[in-house]
Formats: sequence, structure tokens, C-alpha cells
Amino acid sequence: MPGMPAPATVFPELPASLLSALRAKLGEEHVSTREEDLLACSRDMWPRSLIRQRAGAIEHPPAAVVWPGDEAQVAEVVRLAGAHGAPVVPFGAGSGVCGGTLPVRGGLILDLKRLDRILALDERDRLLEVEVGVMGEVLERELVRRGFSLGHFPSSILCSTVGGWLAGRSAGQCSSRFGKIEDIVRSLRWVDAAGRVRETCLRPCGVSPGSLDALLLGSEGTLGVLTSARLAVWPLARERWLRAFRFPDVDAGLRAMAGMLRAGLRPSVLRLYDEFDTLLARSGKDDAGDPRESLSASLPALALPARALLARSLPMVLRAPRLLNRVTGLLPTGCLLVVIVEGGLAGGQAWRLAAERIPALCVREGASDAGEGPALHWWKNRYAISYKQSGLFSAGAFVDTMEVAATWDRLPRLYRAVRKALEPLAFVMAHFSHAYREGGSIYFTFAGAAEDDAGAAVLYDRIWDAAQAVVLSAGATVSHHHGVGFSKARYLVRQLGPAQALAEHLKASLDPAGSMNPGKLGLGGGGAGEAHHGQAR
Amino acid sequence: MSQARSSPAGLGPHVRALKHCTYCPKLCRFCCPTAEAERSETVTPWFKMTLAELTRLGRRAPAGGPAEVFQHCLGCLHCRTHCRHQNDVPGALLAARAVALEAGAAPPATTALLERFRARGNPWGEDLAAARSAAVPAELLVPEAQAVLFPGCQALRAPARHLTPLLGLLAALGVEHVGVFSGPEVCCGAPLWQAGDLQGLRAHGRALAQRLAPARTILCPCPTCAWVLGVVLREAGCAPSGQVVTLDAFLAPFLRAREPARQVPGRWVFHDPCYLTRYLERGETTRQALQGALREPLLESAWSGQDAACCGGGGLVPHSLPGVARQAAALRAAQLEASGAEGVVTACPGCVRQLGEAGPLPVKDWVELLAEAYAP
Ligand SMILES: Cc1cc2nc3c(=O)[nH]c(=O)nc-3n(C[C@H](O)[C@H](O)[C@H](O)COP(=O)(O)OP(=O)(O)OC[C@H]3O[C@@H](n4cnc5c(N)ncnc54)[C@H](O)[C@@H]3O)c2cc1C
Ligand code: SF4
Ligand code: SF4
Repeated sequence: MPGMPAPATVFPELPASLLSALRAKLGEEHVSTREEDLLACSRDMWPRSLIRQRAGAIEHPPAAVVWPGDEAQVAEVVRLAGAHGAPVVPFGAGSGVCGGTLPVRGGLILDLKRLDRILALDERDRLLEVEVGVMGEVLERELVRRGFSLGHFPSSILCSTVGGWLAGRSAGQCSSRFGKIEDIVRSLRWVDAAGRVRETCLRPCGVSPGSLDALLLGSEGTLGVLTSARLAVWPLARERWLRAFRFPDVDAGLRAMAGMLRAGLRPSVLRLYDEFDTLLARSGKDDAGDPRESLSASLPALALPARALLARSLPMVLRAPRLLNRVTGLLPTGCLLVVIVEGGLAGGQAWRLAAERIPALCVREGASDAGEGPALHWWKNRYAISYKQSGLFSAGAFVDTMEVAATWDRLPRLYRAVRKALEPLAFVMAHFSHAYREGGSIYFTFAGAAEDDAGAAVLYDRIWDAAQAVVLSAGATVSHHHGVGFSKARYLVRQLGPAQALAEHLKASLDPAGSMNPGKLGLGGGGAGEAHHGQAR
Repeated sequence: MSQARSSPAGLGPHVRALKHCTYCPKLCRFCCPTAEAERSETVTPWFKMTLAELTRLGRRAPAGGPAEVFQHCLGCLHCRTHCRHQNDVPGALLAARAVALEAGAAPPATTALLERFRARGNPWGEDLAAARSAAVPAELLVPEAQAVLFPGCQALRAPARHLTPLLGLLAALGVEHVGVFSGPEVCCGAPLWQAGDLQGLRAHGRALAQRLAPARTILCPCPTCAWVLGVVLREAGCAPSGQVVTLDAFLAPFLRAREPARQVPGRWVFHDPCYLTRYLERGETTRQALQGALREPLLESAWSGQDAACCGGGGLVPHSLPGVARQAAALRAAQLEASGAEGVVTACPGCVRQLGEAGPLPVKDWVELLAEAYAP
């Protein structure tokens, strides 16, 4: 509401001696305590922070933001901060969705975007050496210009950095073909918590025995700062086969997906939408504007007045999630599977063979061939879904996603159990978009609303607690590719059980001062993610 | 024409865009030239809009930091290319600047620029009327001409690069009925608009409209001038009565009627000026008009057309944040160089200057190449 007083923001502070030492090393203009710079780095895309911001609360501003220009300066910052006992939070583009960059114990935001050089592209060995701060889309376009691709297309490619991908073990839309980022990386350079520059061994394939890569990938800035990486690249696809299939239910679709992977087929894109997500995927228009419009347009079976009502008062409708889930559950949509096979990546005719075998595998599981149209529509709009978030939050509602992974045998049960747990709390849908020979991930989307923002934060926490309780008891992973950050730390701690002590031991030996991104992954204070419970109330 | 708008009515008309940006996961940040030049979250479209929204809500006063942050926008409209909501970020930031100015909170660089403008009628504070008199034959300075060429202040800063070849081209094409604007208002008023000085803009627009009253056709070789005279002043209620015509549209029939005397050699890459391509949507027609004058096919950079990066010369940035303007220009120059071209050709005097100072490639105004091709 205009004019409404917002809760005062409390900015933490740093010793003046640290700030002046940083300024001396980095230059005045690369160290800031200006309020606007602090605010801009006070949250990432964790939806709970958005709910709190909507209520006027800025809960975790840093004390300063620094922009080192190269690896040596990164090392200087880490050394100086360590000497002054100041927390250091590595920051890519702040697109993380679980509070990974929240300075929960104050300190410095270490913005890495000035480290954005492409250091080398070895076209013969197809190896790229790149600094961590480069924006995904900028890098991919440069590679395409030179006839290559990284094969890594997270939906956030427009707003995330290579460093963020590595630190969170990100997955792209073509992960079934190219793997997650940890399958693409060949070596890492990093600055450890003592400010020493380190490099892991260049390897020709996945993580090798004894390599520190496995530890650093997914460490979310808690062990050190990644500065550059060598990554495998691919020649551009020359051909693309796109097809969609409609399955009677999720189980049949999952059986077909597992069948493909077990047969050794590697489509670039393999995405199965549940009945509810199929509605949205089908909504057809090439826009991603107002979610109220797309949701109501995606319910063709609803009478016009009901659709008009939905379009007008989405938050109200979302406050009766059980009803909404039931109504949409009655619609005879089936489950859409989008398959894209690319050719010319590594030569040969393997892709042609895949394209020939896939329809038969799907039909065997009861699917009908929906043609190229829906797959082409998905391809053209593959980043569009992210634009819908704004409309939902603007309308007073909220939306979040939860990506968890399990083996094929557990996926259908896990899917149903999470749906059931969330049905009374939020409108929920899911798709299965990262598939491997042994299993895959489920990507739940849930949208909810409450009377006010305080209520929304409480509801938000209840949703996560309910969903993760199911995940933990089903033996699935707490996260597949968004990372753990601050928000899921307490679930990870529960999942690790006694092994958490081991993780803490490791952290203590690699970062004895506990200054590297404290509070993330349940390590080094900050309340293992419990702190936010209660803050919003 | 594009629908990007300035808002004279405060931030109110921008509420939807402000909210959408505030809750957006920064999806257009990768193409924002100030965000890329400065590598800072603070100047991403997302945060500039968040700050404007906080100002609208009364949670932040515009004075100081916010007013300074609102300056970090080139007005290039590139963000809209990647915004599925079609948000008008530069329009909203312009309104935010107007709010700051009204509240007496404009940054010192803006105040200084406005003072220069008041003194000399252009943002540089130079005597550009004298520069025009020196460059244009007296017989062409005809106040009552029905077709008037409005060169714009950027062209008058380097008339030999822009105005002289254009007059030569018009003569070579047999265009005889065009006079050159001779009034003291050498600038279209874009800097006033961009500073958020809407009162000043209206006064300037009224004076221009009066001076241009006899003109049926107003030929604007500078796309920023074409946008301001044709759209901004109309919306501000003080537009000249004549029709504003871009150079490509004006030249089209003459170029069709005549073969060039020669084709200019070399590999040229085209840089899209933001106002030409994203605002006026004349990038394609300009390319087509230019191609006939060239021996080799015009090259494109990896970022071109609606996706072309700004040269750093937009908005008030070259005046108030010259370092940012230089950095943006360097990034764009590198993209153009990567096309393998031997030279850059563009269609805006401001871009010629920015890019000329930024990279190793020679940069030409397209009128220079056309003049060379059609010279008898
Ligand atoms: C709309 C949207 C869509 C998304 N889609 C996907 C998707 O398809 N796949 C996917 O995997 N993720 C997705 N994400 C999540 C997010 O984009 C990824 O986690 C991404 O990898 C974060 O990158 P970033 O540069 O923004 O990192 P940030 O958010 O800045 O940081 C993320 C974490 O990494 C740490 N970090 C960042 N850089 C470094 C470094 N150089 N060294 C050490 N630690 C570092 C930070 O401290 C933090 O803990 C999506 C997010 C959004 C908002
Ligand atoms: S302009 Fe559009 S894409 Fe950019 S931040 Fe705003 S809503 Fe997001
Ligand atoms: S108009 Fe250009 S400079 Fe301004 S916010 Fe948009 S992309 Fe950035």
C-alpha cells in the first residue's frame, strides 16, 4: 500500500579497517556500502524472500558488496575477510531459489560478475576455459557464434552464471543428453577459505577418484570461491526431431521414459507433464504474461463464467486449493511427453535410430502420437514459463518449485504422495524433465495464497515442511538441481543424519574460521535454515 | 512504431510494469547494456524497477541513491526484446527521474546538463548554430521551406561526417526542395525528456513547433530526433504539425529511381541504433536502402536487429556516467569486430561517435557510404 511504513531494514556493519583495506586492493569503485547496492544483493529468488519483500521486509542485507576484477583479487578479498572474521558470500547472478546468497550472518557479498572472460576455446579438443561470472546466455551465444554449444540450458540461462551452475550442481533442459553441469565440467580453479588459489586436475571424463571436483561441485560457496572452469563443448546440432505423445497417466509415461533410457537412447529433451502441468503446457499462446489468463485459458472444459472468475481473482481461488486440484483433476487431458532428439552432435546416425524407436516405445505404453506441434511449441517457449512468476506475485499469490530425484521404482509413489500432502495447501502440478538410466527428477510447482503476506509466509513454510517430510520418508533426494542453500538446509541435515557430523568436520577443516557462506547446506551457523521459521510471523 | 512511452503522470501509469519487474527473476538482465557494463545487480532492469517501485510505495525517498540509480539506463529498450510482459522499463525510469527532479532530488550531473541546455539549447553547451551556419550554404537555410531537414545536435557536432555528405547525397539524387532548419533550437529536446524535465520539454517543443510550422515534411536523419519530434512531443501535446519522416523512408523513392554511380567496397557490419530499430522499427528498411550502395553483402553481428546491444550513447549516460558509456561502447565494438567486418556502418550520429571512440574498426554514418556511392 502506498505510504505504508515498512519494517526498518537493519544493515550490518564491518570494521572500517577491513573496508579501507578492501578499497586499497580493489579500488574505491569496487567496494560499496551504499544502501542501494546492499539492497540489490539482499535476496536471491527464494520465493519466501519475495513474500517478505512484498510485506516490506528486507531481512538479510549484507554489510558491503565487493567486485573483484580477477582471481588474484578474489583471493585478496577472502584473505582480508578471513583476517577480520567477516563472512564472505559468493554471488553469481542471484537467481538461486533457496536463499543460497543470503548473508544470514552479514558480511560481504563477493560479486563475481567481473570475472567473465572466455579464456580459451580449444576447438579440436572441444574444451572451453571460462571464468565463473559470465552470464549463461551471453556465453552460449558466443559459443554458437563459433559453432559450438555447452549443451547446458537451465531455464534460468538468461539470469544465471557459470559459477552459480557449478556451485549448485545445476541441470539444463537437455540434461538427459548432456548430463548435469558436473558431467560437463573437466576441471576447476578456486580460491580456498585461506585465500589460496587452487586448481583441480584436468580430466577427460566425469569426476575421477580422489578429485576434489566432487566436493566443490555443489558446495554452494561454503568451502571456497570458484573462479574458472574447463568445460566440454559440443558442435552445434545439425538436425532436430521433435515429437509429442499423449499418455493415459503419469505411470505409463514414466515407464516409456525409463524404457528409452534403458535402451540406451539419449534424447536431448525428455519431459513428461502430469495432467495438471499438461493443461498449462497446452495453454497454447506464445506468451507468458498473466498467469491468471493462461490458467483460465488452459481449462477449456470450464464454463466461461468460471474461467472469467478465475482470471479475475486468482488469489481467492488459490485459497481453496483442494477444490482447484480436484476440479482440474477431473479434466481428461492425459499426460504430455515432449521428446526432442538432436542429430549431428557427434556424427553418425544414432539420432535417426532413436527417432525411429521412440514412437514404438511410447505406443507400447498406451500413448497416442500428438505430432510435432506441442513439442515445437515447447521448444519455442522453453524459457517462457519463468515470466509467469511475476504475475502471480503481483496478484498477491506466490509460487515455488521443488525438484527432487529418485529411482524409477520410487518416482510414481513419491509423485502421488507429495501431491496428496500438498493438495489441501496449494494448487500443485509436476513434470519429469531430467531422466537418467536409473531414475529421474520430479519438478513440482505449487501456487498458493493467504489472507495477507504474514499468512502467506506461514503457509509457504507449511507447504515445504509437508512436501519434504514425504520426500525424506520416500528416500528421495532433498534437491536435484536447485541446490540446498538456506531454505532446504534443515531437510538436508535430517537426510544426512549422523553423516552431517562428517560434513561439519570437513567444513571445519577446510574453512576453520567458518567465514565461507555460513548457514548454507546446514554448515557454519545461521541456524541450519531453521532461523526463517518464525521470522515472518 | 513501438509503443514505448514516457509518462508525464508520475509513476502511477507504470504500476503493472513496476510490480512485474520487482517479482521477476531478472530475465532480461543479460541484454541490459548498463548491467553488463557495470556487472552490478543494482543497475539490472529488475533492481532499477524495484527501486522505482519502492519509491512509488513511499518506502524509499528518491533523493540520493535512488535518483542516481535511475540514471543508469540508456533508454535502449533492449530489455523489452526479452520481456514477455513487454514492460517499458526506460519509460518507467524516465518517470522516476521526473519524480526525483520534481522533488528537487536530481543528481548534480542532471542539474548541470539542464543548465547547459538552458544556456545553449543543447546538452553539450556548444554553439551548434554557428557550426550549422559554417557547414550549410546560406541558400539552404530557408525558414519557410515546406520540407525541412532537422539535423539534430549530434550531427551538428561533426557536420563534415553527417550533414555535408547528406547534403551532397540529396543533391546527387536530385532532391532540390529540402531546406535546412535554421532556428536556434538545434536539439530535438531529447535530453530534457530523458532528464525528466517535462516542463522544459514542453516549452522547448512549443518553440520548435512554432518554428517548424511552415514545414509539411520534417526530415530527421537522426532516429532519436525522429522519435522525439514524431512521438514524444506529440504525447506531450506540443508536436510540430508537419509529418516527421525518417531518412530511409524519405530516400526510398529516390534510391529506387537511380542506380548508384559505384558500389562502395569492403566488408561492412551494420550497427542498429536503438531508436532506429527498437523504437521506430526502421532497421530493416535502412539495411535494404544501404545494401544497394555496397559491393559486399552487409554483415551482421551475433547481436543484431531487435537484439543489437546499445553503443552506450543513449539517455543521459554519456553526460552523467561517461565511464559506463565507454564500457558499453567497448562491449558493443567487440561484438561488431567479431563479425569479421572491416568497418562499421550505422545510421545515427551519436552511435558513430560512441563506436568510433571505442574500437579499432572505422565507423561510418550510412549517409557517408550512400554519398560515396551516388556521387557523380
Ligand atoms: C526462473 C528460474 C529458473 C531456474 N531454472 C533452473 C534450471 O532449469 N536448472 C537449474 O539448475 N537451476 C535453475 N534455477 C536455479 C538457479 O538459476 C541456479 O541455481 C543457478 O545455478 C544459480 O546461478 P547464479 O549465478 O544465479 O547463482 P547465485 O544465485 O548467485 O548463487 C547460487 C549459489 O552458488 C554460490 N555461488 C555462486 N557463484 C559462486 C562461485 N563462483 N563460487 C562459489 N560459490 C558460488 C552462491 O554463494 C550461492 O550459494 C532457476 C532459477 C530461476 C529463478
Ligand atoms: S523488463 Fe520484463 S524481463 Fe526485464 S525485469 Fe522487468 S519483467 Fe523481467
Ligand atoms: S532500456 Fe536498455 S539500459 Fe535501460 S534498463 Fe532496458 S536494457 Fe537496460
